[in-house]
Amino acid sequence: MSEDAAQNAINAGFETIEKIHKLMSFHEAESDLTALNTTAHQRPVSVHAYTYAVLESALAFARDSKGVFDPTVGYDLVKAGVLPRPNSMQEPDTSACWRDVELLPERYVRFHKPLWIDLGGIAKGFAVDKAVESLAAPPEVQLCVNAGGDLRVSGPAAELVRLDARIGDAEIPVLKIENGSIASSSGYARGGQAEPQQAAAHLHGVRRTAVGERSFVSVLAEDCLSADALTKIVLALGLQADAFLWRCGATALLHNARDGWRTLGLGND
Amino acid sequence: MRFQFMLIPAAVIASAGVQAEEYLTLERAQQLLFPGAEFSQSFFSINDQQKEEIIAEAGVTVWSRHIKVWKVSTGGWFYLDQVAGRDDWVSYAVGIDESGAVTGIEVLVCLERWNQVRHPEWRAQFVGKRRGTLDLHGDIQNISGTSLSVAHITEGVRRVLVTHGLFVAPAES
Repeated sequence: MSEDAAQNAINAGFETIEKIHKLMSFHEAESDLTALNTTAHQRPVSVHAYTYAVLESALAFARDSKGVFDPTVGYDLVKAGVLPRPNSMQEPDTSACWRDVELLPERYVRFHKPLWIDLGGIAKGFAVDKAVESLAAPPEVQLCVNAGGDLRVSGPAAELVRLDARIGDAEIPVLKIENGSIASSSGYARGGQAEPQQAAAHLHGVRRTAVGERSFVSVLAEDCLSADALTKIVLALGLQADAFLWRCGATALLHNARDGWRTLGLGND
Repeated sequence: MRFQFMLIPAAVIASAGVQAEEYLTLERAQQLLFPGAEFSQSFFSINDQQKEEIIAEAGVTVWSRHIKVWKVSTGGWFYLDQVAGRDDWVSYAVGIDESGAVTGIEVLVCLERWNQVRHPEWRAQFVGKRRGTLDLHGDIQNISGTSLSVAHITEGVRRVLVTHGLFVAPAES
């Protein structure tokens, strides 16, 4: 690949990521997400094809996980202090869940109750997947797209990735990965593992309580959006996530102080 | 998709200056020197007095106070050491058997142009050397073009043998 072609491809990749961020940001006044959270309970709202695709995936994960993954946790995240309160939006119905989100033809979306969607990590995973797609690299080119820890690798060689587990200094977890995606999450409070009483970033979709406060997980999957969605499911279900990971063809490396490192899902010997 | 998960002792990365990529050659060096064995880390640090003892007996510079040694499950010890080449640090490993003799050395990282020290025949010269038998000036053949690394690795192995004899090996009768 020529240097110019590579540079153009890289620029296209960055533009894609930027566009997706603008469409799916919880805070930006102009985002699709804000339009939905403000209006979709009153009338169907039209969204960009990217937003629609992410919502489709989010709802599929919600359905398959029986609500353990649920993108409608926006209000609970605001109450927990993890997301900023949006301006001038009607207070959501606290009984609302993923079933109240309806995807209509022609990229319209309607909510059956007032609710707040947050697409958090999975939008980032989607952005990485789209960036890789837009780079359109031939198979012999080594490619690695990394958006704040959501990472996708393709090409003939393996990449070495240090996992930012922050579990103490004795051992450093390193993943060697070829042709796959990684997403990592922890429920550690912002200040690190020492203060679990502070707001955690991940909620169980059904119980709406914090999960994984003392855990760290890295999920390996074919695509980044799936890896990201699965991190939330693994933090919520812990060792019980094994069967779900198998069905998705994914693997998780889960750490907590009590059990140390465990491998779940595919590749778990 | 293929993957491999590894837990790397931070002490190796930090104090040996070995990057994660180089650690893969560390594992390989371990298996080459002691095939099929398991390695349990037994790192320790030396104080000023111990450092002086090593210098007195070995007659060489001590680069680091941190001794990176692993006990080998099938018998013996595996040492990871670094010495200064001309433009780089040369990481190398020394295997020592139960009797205190060198079983082999493996060079882990080298800039390409100094690669002569990786030659098997050159490394084989160290086999069987013991504390007291590794002579700095006559014993080890120089290779043209790499004289600084040769001298340093030779000194390094001598230092490792002395360190081993003084502080690691079981007391002999």
